[in-house]
Amino acid sequence: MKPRRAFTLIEVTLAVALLGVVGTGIMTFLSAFASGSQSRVRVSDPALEATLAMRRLNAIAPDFRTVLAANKTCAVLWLSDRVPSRTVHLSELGCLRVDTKHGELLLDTIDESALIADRALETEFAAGDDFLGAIASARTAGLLRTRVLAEGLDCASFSAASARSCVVLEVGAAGATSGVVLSPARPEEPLR
Amino acid sequence: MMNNSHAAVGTRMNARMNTRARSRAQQRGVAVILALIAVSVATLLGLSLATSRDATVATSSNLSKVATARAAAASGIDLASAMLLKADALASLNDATLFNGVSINGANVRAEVRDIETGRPATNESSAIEIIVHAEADGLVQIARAVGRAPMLDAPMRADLDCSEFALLGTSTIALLGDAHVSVWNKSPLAVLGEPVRYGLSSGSATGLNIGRAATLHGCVELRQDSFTQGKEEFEQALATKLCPIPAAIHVPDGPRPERPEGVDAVASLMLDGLVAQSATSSGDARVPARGSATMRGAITIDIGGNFFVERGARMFVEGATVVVVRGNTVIDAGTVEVGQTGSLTIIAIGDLSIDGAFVGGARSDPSEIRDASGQANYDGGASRVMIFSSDQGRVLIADGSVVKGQIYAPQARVDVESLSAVYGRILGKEIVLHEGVALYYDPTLDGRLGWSNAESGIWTESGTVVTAVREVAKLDDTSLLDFAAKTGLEPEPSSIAEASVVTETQTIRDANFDDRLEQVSTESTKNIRMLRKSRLMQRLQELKRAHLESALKSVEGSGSGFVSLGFEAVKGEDD
Repeated sequence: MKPRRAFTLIEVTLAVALLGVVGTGIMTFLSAFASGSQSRVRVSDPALEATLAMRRLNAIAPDFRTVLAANKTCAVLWLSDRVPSRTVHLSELGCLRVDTKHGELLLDTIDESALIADRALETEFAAGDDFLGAIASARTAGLLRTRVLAEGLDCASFSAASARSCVVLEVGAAGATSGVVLSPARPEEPLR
Repeated sequence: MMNNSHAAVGTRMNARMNTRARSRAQQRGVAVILALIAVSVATLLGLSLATSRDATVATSSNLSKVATARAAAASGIDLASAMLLKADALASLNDATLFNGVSINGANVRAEVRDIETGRPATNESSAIEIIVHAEADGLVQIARAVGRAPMLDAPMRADLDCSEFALLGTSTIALLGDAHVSVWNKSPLAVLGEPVRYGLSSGSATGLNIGRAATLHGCVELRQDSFTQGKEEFEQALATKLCPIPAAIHVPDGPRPERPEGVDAVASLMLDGLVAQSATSSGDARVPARGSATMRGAITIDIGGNFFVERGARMFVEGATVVVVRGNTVIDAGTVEVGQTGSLTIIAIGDLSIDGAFVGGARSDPSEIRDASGQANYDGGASRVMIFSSDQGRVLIADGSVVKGQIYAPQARVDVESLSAVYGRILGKEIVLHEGVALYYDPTLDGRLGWSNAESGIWTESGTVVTAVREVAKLDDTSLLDFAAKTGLEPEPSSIAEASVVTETQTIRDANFDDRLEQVSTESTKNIRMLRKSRLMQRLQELKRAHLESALKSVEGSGSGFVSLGFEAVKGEDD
């Protein structure tokens, strides 16, 4: 019978120990990489949604001037000076609101055809007027037209920003949250 | 024997040694392969990590570049605005480019200036402009845009006397009954400027203004006799109170009333049907027959001694610069008068004018657009293609859902707009009544900013009073305007006046040279035709000025005075 040479016990022990150390290192590295990548996906979801929502708003209302009023669930915006006067008219209002049931961020604007049919509906506002109430009344009267700015949201809310013409929109999606400041390119306060 | 056995043992030992060596060599190969695999895995992991880190860096870098480009584009707007304040900046544009290759904070910036009305490169004649700035930072481009009125450095040398900056100007009274409506024409390219719409009485008084409770004036300011606003704060205060202060009563000249052309054989009556390519004069009535179609081509004048009828269902299409002088009454009854892209129509109605269930305006791009009093009518060349003068104390009536896209200038006439009709343009009249359900939508392109509302225009002296000669302009015709120009040295703005001025020169307007020039620009817009007329008017003005100067020099020579003052030039240090 031929004698066989094999690894000594010490060699085997050392090899197993080394393999263990290297394997653990590799596993740790891979798991950290995977979890980092996963967390990046989670973070970018709400940030992406919020950014896209702002881009859509910018496309719909490029002359957006200021935030007139806001609470946790909606913000009333002065979208343009469509009736040239540097004052706010009903047709120039927009309402950014959260539909928690469907997980959507929506923009309500005044339906132009309703105003064409009845010009007396057009109202001029002063600075201290109740814009949230005006939007609620317009909604009740069926004057609003709704557009979706973002969907698939877990939650969204508005909070005050440092500047008066801005508002912070915080969006939650895929278990993470992200905030964007909703600010006009050229802020302008109404004259009255 | 012993040797043989030794040899055999040696051979076995050699064989064993070879086997061991082979085994060791095999083991070494495995180790190398394992090492290679380990190195490959480590390299792959390292590369993955490096790639992931690179993407993050690239994202941050892109965000930074975008921010740089945006800031540079915004700065480019400021730079372009400042450059446009330089005299003749617009004249020296190279295919709309104001500057190119300018580096702002590392970004490469290019600016274009375009005329908002035409979309073409801006010129000195551009009233409103759009600045478009492209900023590129490391391959990322951001574009900033701004619109505004073009700087008019020569405004003090020019004067617009036709009051076209007012949507609604009454010389006696204005009444808005029921839910009558006044606002801006949103389809006008200059509506983006968001300028307020002016209305009021030429006296600058509120007495005589009757605005019904249900009437709506959106984005309007009322003319009031008061000093001009000084600074932004006062301006905004006036705007907030819906007022447009002007420090004097407005002088409204009469419309033109051309003499009948002499030496022209007048026919008894005119039937306008088919192609009309020559001027014509009638002693009696003229008509476009019911369901007939007349196309007016070239620069022609139709002088009608009697009444003018565009009968029910008739269509009059204007391709050239057409002037219709009606010495009787004008009736457009459920017909259509459309002005093509290369045309302009001036109607001088000396009697009454009635537009009843009809359309008068630029040729409609949407043929289904028949009546639109909603303010949503297509622009189709705007209000500058049609000018209607009422040159007597007649009556102007627009009724039965008529739509007029044009200007109505009737300082001595009563103007009634009723029965769901709409005017897209402006109305000037003695007594203006907008009845229930009608609307007026002002076209801001009519405001050349050289009129009464601009304190910098030639209408005003430096001390803020009205130039005396302005009040001496009796009519909007060549004679009065050239007289005004000769007296003041000011250039009268012929934006709408030129249309009228051609009438008094029916003989010269039709000279071959002018017709040829019109042909050359037949593909151009109405604005080009206006500019052509303006250059012609200016040429005549220069001739007049030269003649005036020559006569003045003769009188100086005659008086024996040979001194001509050349002013002073400071030269420092020569005498020390």
